[in-house]
Amino acid sequence: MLRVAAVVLLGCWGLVTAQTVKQFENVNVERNIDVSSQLVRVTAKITAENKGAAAASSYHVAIDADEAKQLSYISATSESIPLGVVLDKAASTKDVALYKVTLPTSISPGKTIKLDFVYVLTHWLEPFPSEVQQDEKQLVIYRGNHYLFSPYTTAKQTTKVKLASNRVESYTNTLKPNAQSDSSVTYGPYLKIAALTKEPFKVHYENQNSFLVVKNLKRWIEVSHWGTVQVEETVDVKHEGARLKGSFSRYDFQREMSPSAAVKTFKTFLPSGARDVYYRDEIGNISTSHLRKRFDAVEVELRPRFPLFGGWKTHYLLGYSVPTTDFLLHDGVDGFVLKINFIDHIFDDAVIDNAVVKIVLPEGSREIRLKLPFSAQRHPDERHYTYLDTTGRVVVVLSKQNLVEDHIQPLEVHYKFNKMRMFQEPLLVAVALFILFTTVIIYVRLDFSIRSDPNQEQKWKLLSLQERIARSQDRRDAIYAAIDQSLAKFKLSKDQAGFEASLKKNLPTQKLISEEFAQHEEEAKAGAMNAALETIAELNKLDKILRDTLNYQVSILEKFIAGKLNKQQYTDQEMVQSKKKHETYEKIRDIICKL
Amino acid sequence: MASATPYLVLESLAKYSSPISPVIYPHLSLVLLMVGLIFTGWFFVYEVAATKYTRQLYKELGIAILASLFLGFGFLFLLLLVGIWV
Repeated sequence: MLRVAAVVLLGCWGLVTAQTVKQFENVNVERNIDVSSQLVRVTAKITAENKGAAAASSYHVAIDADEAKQLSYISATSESIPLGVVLDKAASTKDVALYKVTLPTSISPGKTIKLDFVYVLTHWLEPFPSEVQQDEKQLVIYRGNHYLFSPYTTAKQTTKVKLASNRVESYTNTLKPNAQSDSSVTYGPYLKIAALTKEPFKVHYENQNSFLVVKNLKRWIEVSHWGTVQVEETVDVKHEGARLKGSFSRYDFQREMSPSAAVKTFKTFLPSGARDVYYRDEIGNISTSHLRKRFDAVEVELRPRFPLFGGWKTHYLLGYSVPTTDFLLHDGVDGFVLKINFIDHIFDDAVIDNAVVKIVLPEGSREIRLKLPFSAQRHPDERHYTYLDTTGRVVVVLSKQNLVEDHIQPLEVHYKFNKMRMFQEPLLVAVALFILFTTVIIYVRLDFSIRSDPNQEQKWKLLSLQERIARSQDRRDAIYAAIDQSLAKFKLSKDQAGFEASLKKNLPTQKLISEEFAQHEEEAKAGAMNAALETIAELNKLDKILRDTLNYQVSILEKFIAGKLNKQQYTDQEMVQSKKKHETYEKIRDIICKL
Repeated sequence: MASATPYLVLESLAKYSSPISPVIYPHLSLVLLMVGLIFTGWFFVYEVAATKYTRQLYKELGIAILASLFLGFGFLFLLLLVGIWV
């Protein structure tokens, strides 16, 4: 059984190689290997010709097994059109990882296609010596292949290795032609290279760049529909260049002017809308920092207490908030899309060994779906409880290993959220306060006194009654004021119908208030509250005067309108009545004030 | 199922901004908290001054509701103002 499977597998591989290897030939390859930072960035410009009999829709690129382990990023374009690159597991073997590039159009036999192919390796450069003293330069070795590792034969190829400096200790000089000029080494052109040929070379050169590796990145993204997206990045950084030998001398370090591999500052670019940037390390914020607004980014420069030498580590967190307008989209109803970078810039040419991205969505988000720019691991959702939360917020957890700057690509989180849920938070506070007020309302109603004090009770009852009398009297005053006003109007307009209508509106209320007074009187009698009784009697007496005055005023006015009184007589009588009324008002006010 | 609902088309979406502009959070917080505190003050003065014969439950509840609503919203904007983005 196993043997049969093996035969089938071999057959398959044979088929694939027959299809792929035989089909194309690389007419020309120009390879650029950039090792000027801690990364190895290989760019290959390939012109390939279809030598097969059938049209081809895919092209394979090969990475050898050692490099495949350190491979971080791979992509291909054809005349700026991005192409899909996937690992072809069926065709790959133990020694060769084959990636299948889907071509934009199928290439008929005899035709050529131009491909640009990029891949990035991390942790590939080896510091040699592996330990240096503070004032020594950092030297590294790059090990590569003279030829482009390809499943196809290559007719002609050249390779240019771009170094960090023009100081080259040594480089492999076996296969001619080759040359070193300034800060680069050129190999080739080499002609007619068979498929999957390996011919290693080595370049030992000075590389004073910092080899900053983020061992762990925790990226915390919190969405608030009240207007911001908050981002907090916790980073564990290690300098993985040549380790520092001996002790650190601050004196020598300050005196040294030439560039050094030690890291003095961390420079990070944040999104252009970033505000409220904060930075903290294990023991607080005792460091120098600069914040500069650039055209399309906010630059943060952090200078920690100590420079970071090879083998040294540090840990810090950097947070900021960005307006939702920059990252959050909505469809006007309840659909939202958060479009934010999976990782963001941390340092130039940084390597991120392990990144965990946690996206905290508002409480009540549902139907969460993700669109990732590259494959990443999604872990089970978590719950996060923070201020004014009840059921907790959904946290989407993602992780990915071995990332570089090329992975700064946006991911999309599609979710639904009912906007009314936003008001849950203030209402939660309001309800809590209302419970407090209700407790007070209940508390004041509880009587904890051991014995009751009848005198006090009597006093309170009297006060309560007096208060109600005052309130009734206030209403009665308001009615008289209204009637007075309509009387004045009547005097000007001589519109009897209007005046009577207003009287009709006010009189029932007046009657009602009189009934209230009767009730107050009864209560006063029942409780033997003589003071209140006296007040009521007095108020009623004054009310009667007011009513009489009012009636008299109306009658003289009617007489005046009918012509039975002349103007002089009317004005005199009216004056007397007005004075009497005002005096009565004064008296009422005095009584009410005394209550 | 969640997978059944299609992705939203990004081109058809608008940028999302808060229903209330964050620029006015300081003023909103100040005004709402002040009004809320006035109602709170009134409530407690009323509770202390009123006797069991003069107390009116509806009035108490009314003031309490107004005070808690104003304070609740004022407190929310205060939180947002100081950087606690709830």
